[in-house]
Amino acid sequence: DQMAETTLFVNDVVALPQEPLGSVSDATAQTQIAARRSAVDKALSSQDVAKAFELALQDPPYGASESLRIASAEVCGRVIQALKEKDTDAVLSKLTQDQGDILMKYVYRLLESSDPSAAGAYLKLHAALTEKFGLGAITRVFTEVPAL
Amino acid sequence: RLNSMSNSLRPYLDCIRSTLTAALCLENFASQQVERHNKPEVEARATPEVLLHPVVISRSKQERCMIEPSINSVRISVCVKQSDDIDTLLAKMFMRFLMQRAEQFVVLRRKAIPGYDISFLITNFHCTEMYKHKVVDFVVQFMEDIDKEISEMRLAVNARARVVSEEFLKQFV
Repeated sequence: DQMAETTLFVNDVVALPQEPLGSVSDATAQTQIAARRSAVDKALSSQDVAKAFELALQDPPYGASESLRIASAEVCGRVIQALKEKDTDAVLSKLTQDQGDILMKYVYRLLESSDPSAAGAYLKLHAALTEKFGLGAITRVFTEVPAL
Repeated sequence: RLNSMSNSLRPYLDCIRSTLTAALCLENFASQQVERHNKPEVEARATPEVLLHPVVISRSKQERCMIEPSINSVRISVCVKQSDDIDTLLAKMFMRFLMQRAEQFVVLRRKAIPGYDISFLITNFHCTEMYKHKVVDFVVQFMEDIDKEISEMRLAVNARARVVSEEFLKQFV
């Protein structure tokens, strides 16, 4: 039937996000973060920084409490500090756009805490991320709901 | 010494520059509370959905920059590096001097946000009157120059104090 709604009105090709990026309960987030921390520590001890990055960027705790989100960012912070400058490009080229967004949000969260020794590494990664993913990644840090 | 200082300052300022460039995408937004009024939403805070997540970029415990974006305005608050008591005093007096002349600077705020030394407020009207990349350049240059000015002032204070104390103590020698 030509006049049926399903044929007349086709969904947009551009899939705009209809709801926030999901939400995770505190308990689930806590277990996930603990699991991630141990997996990342294992990967870092075997010097596999790329794998550690991939693990650190899984299951971002959207909607969890502030302290849990900071803890999640700190897990990522450990990996960033272990990353050497010459490996940055190789590691960033393997990230998808979503992973880049999550990493950018973690970087800003880490820059909020005022640790002077680590700030240098975070700022360098921020510059590399902006170059790879552009200013859109920064805009998504401001605009996406809920905050990470 | 200046070179090494600016080398570690460079990534911090670059981060602020790119964050500001992304935050300064402003459009007009009339007040939804008062007819025919137009207020910077980051100050009025009347409509929660147009306020974006604030971001703090810190280089050390003393040097921070908070950027609070919204749909039609961005508020940038800066904490200036203060290593000792003289620096604290100089920074306070210098910032007070600048903030009293906020109208001359156009984008400066008359009162700093609590917890910070100096604040800027940039609205969409500023972005239509002025080039956005120049406004960002201004803010970043301002931050760089404040550091230089305060260290120059500290050196001048120390030099003057040394001369004065030498002259004073000569009479006892």
